[in-house]
Amino acid sequence: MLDLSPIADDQLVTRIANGDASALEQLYDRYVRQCFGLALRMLGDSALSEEVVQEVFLKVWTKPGSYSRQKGKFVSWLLSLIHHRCIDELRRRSRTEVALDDPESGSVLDTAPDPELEPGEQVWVMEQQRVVREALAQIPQNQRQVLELAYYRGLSHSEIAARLGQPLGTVKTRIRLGMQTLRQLLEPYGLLAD
Amino acid sequence: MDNAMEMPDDWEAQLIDYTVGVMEPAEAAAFEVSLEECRKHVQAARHYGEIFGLLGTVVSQAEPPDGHKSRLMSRISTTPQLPSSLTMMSPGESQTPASKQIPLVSTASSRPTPTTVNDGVATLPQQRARISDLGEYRARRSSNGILVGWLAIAAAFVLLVGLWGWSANSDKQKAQDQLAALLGTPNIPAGYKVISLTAQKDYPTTNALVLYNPDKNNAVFVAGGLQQLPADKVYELWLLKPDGQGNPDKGGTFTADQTGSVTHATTGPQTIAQYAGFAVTIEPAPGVDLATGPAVALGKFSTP
Repeated sequence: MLDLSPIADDQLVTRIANGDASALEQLYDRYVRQCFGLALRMLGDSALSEEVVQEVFLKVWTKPGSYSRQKGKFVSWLLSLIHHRCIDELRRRSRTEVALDDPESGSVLDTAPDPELEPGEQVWVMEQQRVVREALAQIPQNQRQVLELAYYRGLSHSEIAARLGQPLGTVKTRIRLGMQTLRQLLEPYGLLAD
Repeated sequence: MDNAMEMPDDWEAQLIDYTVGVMEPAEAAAFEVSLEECRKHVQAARHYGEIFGLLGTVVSQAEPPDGHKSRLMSRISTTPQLPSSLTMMSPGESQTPASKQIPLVSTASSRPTPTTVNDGVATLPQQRARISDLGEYRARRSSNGILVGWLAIAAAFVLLVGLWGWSANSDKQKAQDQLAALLGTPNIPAGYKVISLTAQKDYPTTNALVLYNPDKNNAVFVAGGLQQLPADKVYELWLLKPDGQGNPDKGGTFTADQTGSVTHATTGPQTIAQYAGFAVTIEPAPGVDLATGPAVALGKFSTP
């Protein structure tokens, strides 16, 4: 079998910790589109998304030790940083009041997967994206809806309950069951770190 | 109850709340302490953290505006790393080339490279013989002119042939570089494999491979160096069955972009492990049920 992991992310992080800026550049080239896409989806503002992505990569540079393999795959950790930074921004700017029928607040499954990915590193992104989208599509719609509101809008339990007119306990249950189902669906693909 | 699944126990419910970020800070701090105590729980915590991160991969990617990278690298060049992040390299790690490092303090400029020193001896060009016979001179110059003309034409021909060869090699090199980039893709988890497809005789510039998981039905075909096809033709991917088990299954049709590249995903009727390999042929648009056209690339799984 061909060696598919010549320069793994955690090796690049080690190089960054030793002052190798080119290693950060490689990680940037590898993941900036995913990072910017997520920030843009959550914030709806290109300039703000640019700044969030810059700040996160700058943090990777200044504090590479904040990532470790125990925290899972680097890309998941990186996207979590983007996500948390966007949540901070959303809460700061009170942008949570987005109408449910706003196109940007529709399900991520309503948007087509990336159609024009080029060969190279993007191929694995295409496959990974397909797997996760399939898993999301398999969980019940009411669980997916609350998960998406929690993730992409940064809403709390009570905010989701108020938005959807549902009991708080129901929202909590649906988030928990949705995540549990996703874990069972994604684990066989090896996408979850051991 | 939303489904027939068992409700997660209370600890797992707290873990999900913690991961999703809806837990109160004091409660989250106390929960973090309990996370350290159980390896199984740690694994679950890692998994849910991964899942939460993977949700970010579902959205469409977007290219940041021009200059984003250069602005970032410029900020990095002037931003020191925090002291606690400077660690000794792990044993076995290769040295980071000095040229790749951003020093925290300015370093002296490099010494100028030594220049060759001429010996200082100048030789005067030989004097040409004086022209005594102008007619002979003109005849000689005329024949020289014709010869020079033929040499120029020959040089132009050689140049054109060289450029054509270089261009063809550049396209092939670009295709190879693209596939090398795919082969260099890190972090593809265990279980996924790659098979290279061999270019067939009449399509030597083709570089193709397939990324697949033997236990799944889907695969991703990636190729470079493909020829542009006329409008009434398409490339078609086939999932080859072992000998004696029937005709190949259809894997879908595609065309190459202007650079001769394509990425094409397919899902077969059965898991990839049950196939013998992949092939690509050229068929009449919009595709056929049985391959009849010329084979462009072929790859078979090696038998154990």
